[in-house]
Amino acid sequence: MNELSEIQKLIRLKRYEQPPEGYFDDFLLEFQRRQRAEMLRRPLWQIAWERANLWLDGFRVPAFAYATILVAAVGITTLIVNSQSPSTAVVASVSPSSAPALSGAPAVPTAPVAQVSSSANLPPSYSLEKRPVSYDAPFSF
Amino acid sequence: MDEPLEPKDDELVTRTKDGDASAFDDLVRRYSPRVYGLVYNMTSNHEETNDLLQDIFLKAFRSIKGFRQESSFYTWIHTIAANMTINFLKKRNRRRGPSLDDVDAHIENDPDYIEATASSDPRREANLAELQKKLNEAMQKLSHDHRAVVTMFDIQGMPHAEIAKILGISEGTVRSRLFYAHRQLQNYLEEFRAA
Repeated sequence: MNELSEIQKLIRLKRYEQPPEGYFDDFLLEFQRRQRAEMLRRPLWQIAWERANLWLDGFRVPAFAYATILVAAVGITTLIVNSQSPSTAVVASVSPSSAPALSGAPAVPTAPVAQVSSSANLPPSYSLEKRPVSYDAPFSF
Repeated sequence: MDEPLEPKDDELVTRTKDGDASAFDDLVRRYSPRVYGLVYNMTSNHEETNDLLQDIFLKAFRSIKGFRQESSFYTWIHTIAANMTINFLKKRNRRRGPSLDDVDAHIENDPDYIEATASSDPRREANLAELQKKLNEAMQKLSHDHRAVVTMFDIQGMPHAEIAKILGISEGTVRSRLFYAHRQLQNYLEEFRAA
């Protein structure tokens, strides 16, 4: 018998040290008392959160539903982005008075009209200069 | 004879996560003796062990939703127990005197006990109480890390690999800690060694 195994045999005798009989039954009772007391002391939001989760768990959502929702969301986003593209967003508005007349006279460029907001409370607004599309008289014969 | 099969740990863990507190009671019933052994042999104090054991199982109950079951419940609960006990021992500034459990009467039939106490050499003649006191004193002289390894390997009979997982160290470190701890214990328990 070598020295190390001798030491191990001695130390192993410590496994005979045992708590009194019935200790583990009492331990469980005490544990249950503390566990229940702790559960009652939980903050209200935590209880509400758990109940909400349990309620949501009741809905069985099929896995492909998430994919469908994702595809629909991407589609809607694409539509919105396309409808707000720069070519359509900035529209040159031409008033009927500034449109070139068909009288044969060259069209006179109209001066930009600055629109001043009457309400001082509103943030400053800007209007695009209204210019004719071309300075050439389109119908000069 | 068909005995009802006891539910597996994984099943009890899943039921606990689903809100079944009685499933966790079964886990406490199943593991409290082993975890008690780990904590008691590290503190050598029954009252401290009792308090720590309550805290360990309460902590496990609180954190069980975060337990991803990548390791067994056995490893997980022993990891919590070892960490909490080592932290407790580090913070304990003034050591309480030992409060030792009674020794089971079956020890008197153990050949290792007979060999350790009965000898023609009067220096080695020792009674049970004296042997228990010496063993606990020797254990308390080890560092917390060494004591944890000796407790798990020598007293609880865990394999090196399991101890390594519980303590988050390599098997090589487990072996070297055991080697060093045994050498220290040899000196402390000189009088009980065979001539």
